[in-house]
Amino acid sequence: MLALIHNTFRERIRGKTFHVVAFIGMAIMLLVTTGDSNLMINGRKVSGFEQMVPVALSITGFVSGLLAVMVSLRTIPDEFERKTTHLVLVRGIKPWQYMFSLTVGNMLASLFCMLSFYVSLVVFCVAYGRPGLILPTFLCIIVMSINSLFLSAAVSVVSIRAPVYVAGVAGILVYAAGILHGVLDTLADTAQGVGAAAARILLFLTPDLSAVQQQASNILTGAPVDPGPVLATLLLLYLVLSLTFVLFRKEV
Amino acid sequence: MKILECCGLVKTYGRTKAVDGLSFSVEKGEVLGFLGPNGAGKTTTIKMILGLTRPSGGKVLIDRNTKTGYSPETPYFHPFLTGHEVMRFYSRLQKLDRQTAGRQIAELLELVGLSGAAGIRVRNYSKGMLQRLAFAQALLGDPELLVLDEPTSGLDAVGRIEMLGLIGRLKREGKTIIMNSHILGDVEKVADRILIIVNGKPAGMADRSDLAGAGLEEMFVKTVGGAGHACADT
Repeated sequence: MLALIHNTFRERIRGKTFHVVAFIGMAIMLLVTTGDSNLMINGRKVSGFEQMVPVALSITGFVSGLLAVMVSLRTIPDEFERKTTHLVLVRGIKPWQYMFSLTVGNMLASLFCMLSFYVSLVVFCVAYGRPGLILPTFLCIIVMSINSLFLSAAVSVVSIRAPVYVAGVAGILVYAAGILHGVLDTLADTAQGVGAAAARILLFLTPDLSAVQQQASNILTGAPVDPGPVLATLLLLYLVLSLTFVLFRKEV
Repeated sequence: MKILECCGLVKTYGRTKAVDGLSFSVEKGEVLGFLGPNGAGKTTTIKMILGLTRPSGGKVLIDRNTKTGYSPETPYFHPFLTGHEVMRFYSRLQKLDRQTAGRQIAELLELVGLSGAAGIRVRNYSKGMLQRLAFAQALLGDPELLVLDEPTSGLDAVGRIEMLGLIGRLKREGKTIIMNSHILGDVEKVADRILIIVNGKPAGMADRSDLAGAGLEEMFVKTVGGAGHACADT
C-alpha cells in the first residue's frame, strides 16, 4: 500500500497544472496580503493584520480547495482507463487497498500543496511584522488542510464510480456548500418544502468548511478556538475514507 | 498435474456472450497457446483466469498460492517512472525484500535487454521496449504460472525472435505459460498444446504432435473456417 500511496503522490505533484495553479494562488495571495492594499469590505478599507488574516486564509482556502479537487479528479479514473489496475490487482492487492491507497495519495498531494502555501503565509506574517506567528501559522495551516483533505477524499471517492466531470462537479459543490454552510443553515431554517429539505441534506452531507477556516484564523489572531467544527469535519473525513473499503468498479 | 482448470466459463456483457462454455485445463510446465480471431474472447478468458473479471458462469480452479505473472497486450506504466523504477514499484507491491528485488530487477532487465535503458523514463520507451518491460515485470517474484497476452506485439523481427527464445527458455526452466496470440507462427514455435476459440466457444484443441503433418495454419483455417466471426470487442 505504501508503494501505491508514494507512487500516486509522486505522479500528482509532478502535474503541470498543479504547479501552475499553486504558483498563481501563491502569487495572488502575496500580492493581496503584502502590498499596499486597496481591498474594501462593506465600504471599509481592509489593512490591519487582524483584518487581513481572514482574507489571506480565504484565498489560501479557495486555491487549495481548487487544487485538492483538481489533483484528485483524474487519479482513479486514469488507473481504470489505462488498465494500470490489471498489473496491480494480479499481485494480490485487494480492491479496497488499491482505492484507499490512491485516495490517500491524493490527500497527501493536497496536503503538500497546503504546506507550500505555508510559505506564503509566513511571508504574510513577516510582512506585517509578526515573525513570532510562524509557529501558529503552521498550526493554522494544519487546521486549514483538513478542508483540503476532506475535499480530496470526497472527489476521490466519487471518482471511483462516477466519470471525471461528475467527480469535479461534486467536488465544487461540496466546496461551495461547505463554505456557504452558514447561508444553507439560514436557508434551511427559513425556507419550506423541497428547498428546506435540499438544504438540510446538503448540510448533513458537507462539513462546515467555513467554520474550520474560522478556527484556523482564530489561531493566528489569538481568538478562542472551537474544536467542534474541526472534529466534525474529521469525523466526516473518516466516513468518506471508509467508503473506499466498499466501492469499486464492476469491470476493471 | 494440473495447475489451472477452467470449467464451463461463461462471460456475458449485456446480451452478448463474450465467452460461452469454455472448459480447458493447463498442465504444470506446459505452454498453452491460446488462439482465436479478434473478438473471440481470448482476453476476456485471460481476465477471468487472473481474477480481473468475474465469470457470469462456470469457474476457474487455481491454487490460491500459485504465483502468477501477467504481461498485458498493451502495457501501460506510469510515464514519469524509469524502467528501473517501474520494476521497483511492482516488486514493492509483491512485497519482495529489497535485496531480492534488487537482484531480480537487474537480472530481468538484463534478460529482456533493457539494462541500458533502465534509467530512461518509460514515456520515452518505444512500443517494443514497453513490451519487454511488461514481460520483465511479469517475471518478478519468480512466478510458476505466466500469462502472456500478445507478448510479441509491437516487437520487430529480431525482438520477436528474442522474445520467443525467452519463452522457450522459461519453458525449459519448468514454467507454465499461457500465451495468447493471433500470430500462428509464434504460437506454433513455443506451444505444447494449442486451444482455438471462436465466438467465445472452444473450437479446437491440438497437441504439438498433432500438427506435425498439417501445420497450425491449416488446422486454424479449418477450425475457424474463414467465416465472418465478429463479436463483441473483448
